[in-house]
Amino acid sequence: MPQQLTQADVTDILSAFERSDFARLRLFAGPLRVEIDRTPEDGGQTADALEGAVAVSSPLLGVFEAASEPVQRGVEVQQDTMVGFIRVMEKRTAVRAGLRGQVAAVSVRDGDFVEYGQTLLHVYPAEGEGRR
Amino acid sequence: MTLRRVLIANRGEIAVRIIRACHALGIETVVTVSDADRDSMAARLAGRAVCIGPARSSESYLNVDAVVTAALGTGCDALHPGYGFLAENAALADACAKAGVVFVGPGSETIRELGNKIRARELAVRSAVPIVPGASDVADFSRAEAVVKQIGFPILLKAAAGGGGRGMQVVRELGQLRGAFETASAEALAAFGDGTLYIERLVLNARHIEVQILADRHGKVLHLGERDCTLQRRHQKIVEEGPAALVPEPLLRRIRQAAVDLAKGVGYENAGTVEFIVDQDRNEFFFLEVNTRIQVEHPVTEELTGVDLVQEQLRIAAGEALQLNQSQIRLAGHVIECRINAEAAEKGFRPSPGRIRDWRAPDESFVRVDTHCYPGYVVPPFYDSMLAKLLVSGKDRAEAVARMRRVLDEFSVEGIETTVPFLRTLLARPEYISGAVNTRWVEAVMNEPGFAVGQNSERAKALA
Repeated sequence: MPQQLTQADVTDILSAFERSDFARLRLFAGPLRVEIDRTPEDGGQTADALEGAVAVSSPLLGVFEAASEPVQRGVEVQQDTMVGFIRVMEKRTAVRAGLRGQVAAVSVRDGDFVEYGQTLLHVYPAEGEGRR
Repeated sequence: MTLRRVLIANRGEIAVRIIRACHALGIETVVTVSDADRDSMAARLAGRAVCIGPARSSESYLNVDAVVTAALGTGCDALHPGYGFLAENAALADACAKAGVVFVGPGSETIRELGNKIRARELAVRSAVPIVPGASDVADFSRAEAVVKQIGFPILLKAAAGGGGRGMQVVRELGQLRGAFETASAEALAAFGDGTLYIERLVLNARHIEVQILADRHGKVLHLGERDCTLQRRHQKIVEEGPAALVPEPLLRRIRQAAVDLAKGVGYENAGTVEFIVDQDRNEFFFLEVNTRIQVEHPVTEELTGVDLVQEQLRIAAGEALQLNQSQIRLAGHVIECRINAEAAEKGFRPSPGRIRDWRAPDESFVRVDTHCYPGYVVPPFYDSMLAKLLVSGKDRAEAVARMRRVLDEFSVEGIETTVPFLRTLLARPEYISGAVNTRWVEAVMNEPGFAVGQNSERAKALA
């Protein structure tokens, strides 16, 4: 069994994560479970800033390929705006925004390996645009 | 080469089992999970869990492209398929080879050949391994008579063209042969456009005996003894044990040798199981099939021999030569395994997924439990219902049987229904205790008016 981590240990680990450029931390030690994700693009975006935004997630596991005109923070998207592709072996599947609004943050880069359900970007829904 | 990071393309207890074997060898692990398994024990134990798709296995665990992409995307140099799902899928082995990922198992050609029942029988014959006597070219009644004269009754008649049990007829004596032949032939013609029949001897009083094989790519083939999996229900194994204490030793020696001969004959590599049927009335054995993967019941052999089969699989896949010799393989004592499933036996073995409120597995020096379950775990409704494999060792069969009956009484699961009460009832039967059973025994006993999964209904009431 690993030794119990103290509050101070956890604080040290968190600040080490802050200083690093890692995107994700998962720590399991005995009963303790710490999981942190950082949005790699649009540095400085915090969870607070994304309040009210809707996550657009990957429909497949594969490699993300940006659209010819990559979607960026601040641009307006429509439901059918293509935000990129997911490549699985030779097959390429288009991913659409699925809602109307403004892009709040983009979480993936061209060529990134993404899991099923992983967040690709966040969109602030336009007025009257509910969750899909 | 040595393996650095392995993708485990499976779930449940076998994913946990493989992760532990990798870690014991200092190999990093990534496990594929479906959306329903994100919080599984395997996901927590592995170095990384990667979600490959939704709960439905056709879009996740059975998706070859997703699995290979996951291996590449997470920098794995090898892939272990476990059992079930894609474990015997030659296309996955091919895709791995193409992607430069080591497939922990035999080559795709071996998987393909042995996966084809007709081809596998041909290969068995080529290695002088006996197959069930029969003929697949029975186009008219005089041919049927001639074949039956050769192989004797009872026989099974079915369409030569079709698979499965379509139009299958059991014939016990000559007087029934013409009628059965005409019916089966007409059905075969209607269903497949070809009235040719397949006749084989029906072994009524049969034991299911299988031999564990390990083979490296340097030509060494070892057998690690056999397992007796005679207790089955609808072709699903319920209890497995080893060695086959109820089969005469001279016959066992021939069965083990036949398995080695077949594996050598096909140039087998990695772990595999050669399955046989033993005719207890005639003291004969026949080849059934080869499973080109690790099997559910592999721990029986591990407990008998002290060999970690999954670690051996990984070493073989890395190209290492087997360090063991046949003379070093010893079967010590007797081992029994029970499969514990989330099923309500008294309701026709209906699956019983849900939250496990309490999970108390027996804990004694002679017990081994392979599981991915724990108190609070929610058994998802999408997959196989197996929760755990409970194993006991004893110095001989009598001690192992007594121990298994005792620890089954101690096994307590609350919140969902399990097959534990059914196993308690089944293993209390004198036929099981003495070993006087065959592959039809479980279903026969269950049809007896007196057979009730007694404790089960009481427990069900207590749970309601």
